[in-house]
Amino acid sequence: MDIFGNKLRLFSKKATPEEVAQVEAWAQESEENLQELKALEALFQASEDMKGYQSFDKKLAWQKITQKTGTNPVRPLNSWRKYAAVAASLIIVVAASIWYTTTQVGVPSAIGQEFVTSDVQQKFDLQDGTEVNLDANSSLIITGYRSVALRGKAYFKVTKSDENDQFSIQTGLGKVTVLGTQFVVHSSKENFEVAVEEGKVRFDDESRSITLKAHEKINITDGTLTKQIIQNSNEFSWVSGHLHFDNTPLKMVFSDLQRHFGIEINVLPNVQLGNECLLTTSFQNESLDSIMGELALLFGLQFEKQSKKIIIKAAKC
Amino acid sequence: MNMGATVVKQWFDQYYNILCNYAFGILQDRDASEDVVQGLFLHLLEHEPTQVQHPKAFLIRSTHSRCIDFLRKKNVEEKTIIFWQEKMSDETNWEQKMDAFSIKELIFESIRHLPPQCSHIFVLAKIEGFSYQEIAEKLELSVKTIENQMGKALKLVRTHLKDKI
Repeated sequence: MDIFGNKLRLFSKKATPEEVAQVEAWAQESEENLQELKALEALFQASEDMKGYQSFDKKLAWQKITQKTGTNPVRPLNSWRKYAAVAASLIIVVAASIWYTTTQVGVPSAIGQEFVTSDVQQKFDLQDGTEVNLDANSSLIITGYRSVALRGKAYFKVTKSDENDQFSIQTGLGKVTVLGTQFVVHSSKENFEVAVEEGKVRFDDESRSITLKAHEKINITDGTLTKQIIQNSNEFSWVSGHLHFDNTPLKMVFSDLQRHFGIEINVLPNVQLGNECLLTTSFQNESLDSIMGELALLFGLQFEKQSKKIIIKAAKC
Repeated sequence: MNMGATVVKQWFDQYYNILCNYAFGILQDRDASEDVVQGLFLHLLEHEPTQVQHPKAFLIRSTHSRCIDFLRKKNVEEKTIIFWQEKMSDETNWEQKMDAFSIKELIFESIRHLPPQCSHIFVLAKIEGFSYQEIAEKLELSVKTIENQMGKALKLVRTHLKDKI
């Protein structure tokens, strides 16, 4: 028997006689309980008619108003919107929760709004000016003016805020709070990572609280957290679409491609990738097929492509 | 800022979001709602606000009135205009109306403090307007679980707002 649920059913007139009795018994235990019940019911009634309730940008609005009167000196746009501060790039993938789908692209978002992607990335802005790049097969829901919950992978460019209203992302493993920076969080069933491009981020879960600076990253596997320095410039390649290789061993190339395209590259045991298998090139927004074709030519690769997997069967380099 | 402007800024900070939501209920358009409410505050800045006897009632009634003006300018159907005019003349207690919306605003602000699944369900039910049955289907949970989560959300919101209501 859930007392909270019973109260709710009481208010919405769906409670069974036993549930009603339980709540009434509780209410009669003390004056405090009785008052609490009344207060809860009042809140319930107030919340019954909140469909479509949303937030509006007060700061921008006041600026518009005072610009028209000349009462206040006009504050430069810079101090408010995204033009000013360094943004924060955040990729978060939240495991486990199931979110439903509505897609509304290009519309200023309001609390409750949800974005879902299938095969393609989607870019949009949040109400506070934060830019979001939602990776494929991901979903994001707005839970507050400066907070979201995300399942999958997304890149955020968070706007700096004048007040203590830090942007936060709730994930399945913990909460990421933006301290005013550019960073990436990747949280999925298989992988949890927070990588900071610029600035600072704090990660909290039940047992720890860690602050990360630029070019630092953490990885959580099976509950164990490791902190590393980011050495690979392709860490954020999937956001820009730009992959850069400079005498990079083929093994690392495959690992970058795996992250970039969200696929698995399996090199068969008989394949030798020696020290001569080095790649120096850049790919800008090229498809996986096109890149694999080029690699096949350069390194004599034989491979088999399945839906989310590539199997490397042979290499000559 | 002069005395009058300070007062207007206070009203603005406290009531802007509320009034925009109120206007949205009539106009069903975000930009229009903001234009109407901003127009009201602009007017207040340019005239003497300290003469207003009952600010809460004044602000919300003025918003309603300006919404009707807006609808007229947009040439909406006469019956829509009459509908909202009647609502205006029927209203006996504007202050209470503002108070009711203030509570909605407080509830709305508390959503971000709810735990993830709780806030998601709350938003789906209250802001998006889905039935518990629909939510249960979408999230693959039982209706009872949804009800329990909603009950929990109410409790958490209540705790959060204890000192403010």
